[in-house]
Amino acid sequence: MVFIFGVNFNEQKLVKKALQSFYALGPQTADRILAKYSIFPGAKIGTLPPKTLTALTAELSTMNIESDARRVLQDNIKRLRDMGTYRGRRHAMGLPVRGQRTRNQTQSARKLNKVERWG
Amino acid sequence: MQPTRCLLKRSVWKGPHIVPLPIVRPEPGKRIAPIRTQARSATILPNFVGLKFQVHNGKVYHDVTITEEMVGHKLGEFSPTRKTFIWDRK
Amino acid sequence: MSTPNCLRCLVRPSAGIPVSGPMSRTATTATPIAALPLTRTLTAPFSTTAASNAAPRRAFQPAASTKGHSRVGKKLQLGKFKKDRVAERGRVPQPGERKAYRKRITLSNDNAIPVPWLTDLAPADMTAAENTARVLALPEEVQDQLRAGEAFKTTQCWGMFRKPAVLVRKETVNLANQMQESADNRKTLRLVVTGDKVAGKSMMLLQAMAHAHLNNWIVINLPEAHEITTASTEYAPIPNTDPVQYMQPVYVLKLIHAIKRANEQVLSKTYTIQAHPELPQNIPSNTPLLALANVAKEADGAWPVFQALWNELTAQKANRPPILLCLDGLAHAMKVSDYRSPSFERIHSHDLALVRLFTDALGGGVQFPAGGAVLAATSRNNAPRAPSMELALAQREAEARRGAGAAGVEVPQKDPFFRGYDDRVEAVLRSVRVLRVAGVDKLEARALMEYWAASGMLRATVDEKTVTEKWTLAGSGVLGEMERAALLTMRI
Repeated sequence: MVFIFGVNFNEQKLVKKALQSFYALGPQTADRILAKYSIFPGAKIGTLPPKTLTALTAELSTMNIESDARRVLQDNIKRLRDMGTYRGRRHAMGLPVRGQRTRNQTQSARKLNKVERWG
Repeated sequence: MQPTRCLLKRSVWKGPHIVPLPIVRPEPGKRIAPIRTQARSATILPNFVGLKFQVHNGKVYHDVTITEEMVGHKLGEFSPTRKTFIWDRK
Repeated sequence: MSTPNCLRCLVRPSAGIPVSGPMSRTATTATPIAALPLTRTLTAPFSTTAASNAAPRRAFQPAASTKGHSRVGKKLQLGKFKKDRVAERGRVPQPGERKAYRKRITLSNDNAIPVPWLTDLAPADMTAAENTARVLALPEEVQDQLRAGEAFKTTQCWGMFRKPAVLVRKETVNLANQMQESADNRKTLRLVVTGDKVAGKSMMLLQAMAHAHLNNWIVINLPEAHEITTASTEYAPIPNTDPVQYMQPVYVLKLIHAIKRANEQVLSKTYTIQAHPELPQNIPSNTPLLALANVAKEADGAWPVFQALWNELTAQKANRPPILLCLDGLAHAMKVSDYRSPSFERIHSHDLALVRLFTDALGGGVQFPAGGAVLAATSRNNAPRAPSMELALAQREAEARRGAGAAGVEVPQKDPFFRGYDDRVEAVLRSVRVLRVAGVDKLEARALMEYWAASGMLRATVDEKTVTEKWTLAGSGVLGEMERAALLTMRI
């Protein structure tokens, strides 16, 4: 088991997949991080030297991921709500924001659209 | 988040949607009447800040006081057009 | 509606006489109805489900607990033994086991007949023109050396014969003579083997390696270029290089081990001319190169060791054996690799230090002290498009034919409207020789088929007719196609 950015990963896991497990860190960014530290795409976590692991953790801590990224998202919604825009209202009501129908099939909106949005 | 997000709304060469509105700068200490308009699609420009608008929603005019963070949005965003359905609304 | 009984003989087709199988029931149990004891309870005389009748119907057993499903016993059960069967997964393969199985090389088949007239290759055999169209066996130690150098491929039919043997063909003699000539003159032969699909390009490399091993050359083989350039092994920038080059420590460690195993004899008799204090283990001068290669224990320090080894091997004015450097699948080494630089740009294959080392040698940048050869083979199976390489090879070939006096040969030129050319590739291939491997002629085909027949792998009389038939089926004697037409039809 190896720690990256405070998270425990299996040694058999691909480094790219491990990076992508963080919120707001997708395939593109993961590829760029791998290239930055000269890690080949098929590398597993167990093969990384400790130096690279600490460098990765340092890199991730400077990035806008996980709770930081969530806070940005929530701030954006909160700003809309505070201004009193239509979009902010729809978020607060848990209804679709972009003109979708509301007669039925609004599960995603009900699940996600909140002022304190998490996902 | 993404710098392109606001650029995706509208072609850059068009610029913002500017509607000629009767904007009068208030002299200090003097109150002026709010600007009554039906131009919901007018982009809020920086010189609107601090003014009062009455924006039509199809039925009535809603009062909107423009603040700094509203710049770039449309007037219509601040005047809801739909009424929530409530059973037995008197 | 038909009656259940046979009206003519009053025989019932199936009375409830216990029998073993469903098939015997209808055939043997036709008993006259009068002979049946009256007390016997008769089962249904006619049934379409003989199979299900044969097996005693399994009574449904309700679940032990009374709180089962409300419709228990009425559920539609589609599979016959769905509930009873426990999924048997078997043994889960260990990590790397399947790959090892996929890549295993079988060099011997105990069921094949030993061929009495088969002789082992001698050091001078491949250069002798009279050996053309003869099948010769690889000696034991050369087998081991080639196996260590990964010269054998899984796609070749080694596993069908008692011992590995190769057909000496005209191209083989040609190549071996060119190699020998360059070694005699202390020059470096630079040559690309190209040709159609399954024409025997890799086999030509193998024969060159066998020839080199027999003559005590040092052989360095890069078995597949795609292993180096498709971003499937670790890489790291080499410090203090401009433009930045990249090393591949894990692959290089594997390569050093392969070189060591393949050339143990020669390396132990070759000595360093300078000390190498920078290596993890201090190597004084006049040490066997084998000891130098042994320093590489871990991937971390593998690249400096390899570099030191290469510098020692190519050091001028030193007493070195001739060197053979081989690479298969050239197209992969002549394109932009799949690796990314720290600024997220694709790294050109020639910026990978190992490929650079090879291309430098192929381009004529390195002279081996005692001569030798740099050989590359193209591949037609696993090859990305490398327009510059294809053009350069076609140009070199046309130039060679024109130089040989062929009339009306036009040297192909660059397409002015195509952008995908690569100057670095052109520079490397500007002065190489090209050896085109085509189909074998009928004499060689006959020799090969006689060997197959003598091994018991070809069950046919080898005469003019069969040889011509297979030779034609194989598109004028393309060797791989001949194997498919004659040999692999036996494979089950």
